[in-house]
Amino acid sequence: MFGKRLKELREEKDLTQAQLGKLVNLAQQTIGHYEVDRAKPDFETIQRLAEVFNVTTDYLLCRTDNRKETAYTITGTGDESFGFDKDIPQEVREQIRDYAEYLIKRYKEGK
Amino acid sequence: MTAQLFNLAKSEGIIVDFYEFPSPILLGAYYCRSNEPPVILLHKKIERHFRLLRCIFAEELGHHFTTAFDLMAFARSDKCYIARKYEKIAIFWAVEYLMPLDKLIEAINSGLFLTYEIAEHFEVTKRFAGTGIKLYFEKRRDVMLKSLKTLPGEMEVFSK
Repeated sequence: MFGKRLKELREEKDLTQAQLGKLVNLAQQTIGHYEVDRAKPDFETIQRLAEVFNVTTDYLLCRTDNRKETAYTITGTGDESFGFDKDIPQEVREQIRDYAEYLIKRYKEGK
Repeated sequence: MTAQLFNLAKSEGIIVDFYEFPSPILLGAYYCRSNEPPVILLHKKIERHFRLLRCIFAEELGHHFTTAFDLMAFARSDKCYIARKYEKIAIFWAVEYLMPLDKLIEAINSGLFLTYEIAEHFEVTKRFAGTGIKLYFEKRRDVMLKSLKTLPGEMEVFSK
């Protein structure tokens, strides 16, 4: 649940509810409500919280257990045969991902 | 004919770029992340190899049209799945796109008997044509056997 995760992250950073509230322009009570899932943050707050904790919004919303990465897939095609079925090495995957992410970023900026 | 593939990608909102892959075994890749435009990367070294480019490009598009959403459902955190079983589905999409069954039957019945002749006719690589014929014998066997007037020598192995 979101509340539990928020509390975890806050305690990890050694912040009080009031201190966290200050960082994201919210009252201490609001943070308190979030942590017991009595209230839900809006989009902007989710983004600000993600920035404060340096995690993805996916992680904050418990859609993934990985803090930094978001879900993606890569399929590769080689020339040895159609029906390429060697695993792509991790570092190659990461380079492909970085380049693809760079293109996506550039594409959005150009819009 | 390559323009058609670029247009199709564009209409799907796919970003396409040529890329110097850090691995010699990769010629193309399809990258997909939820809520972001998908990306197709094609190796720089095949930019002017039109036939190979068409085949690789079509297969990456095949991933987009046949398996991307399924794959997303599998994707978790930073794990990425090179789902082998999907590879064949994507290839078959490419085969049907570049070498439609009715056109293939027409071509063979008009006298193109060798794989390389068929490859030439459809502007694909010989390997792609061979894979395509093999897949058609697997998936559209009845149509193939019924429609072909004669069975070209190179294809006999598939008909058994």
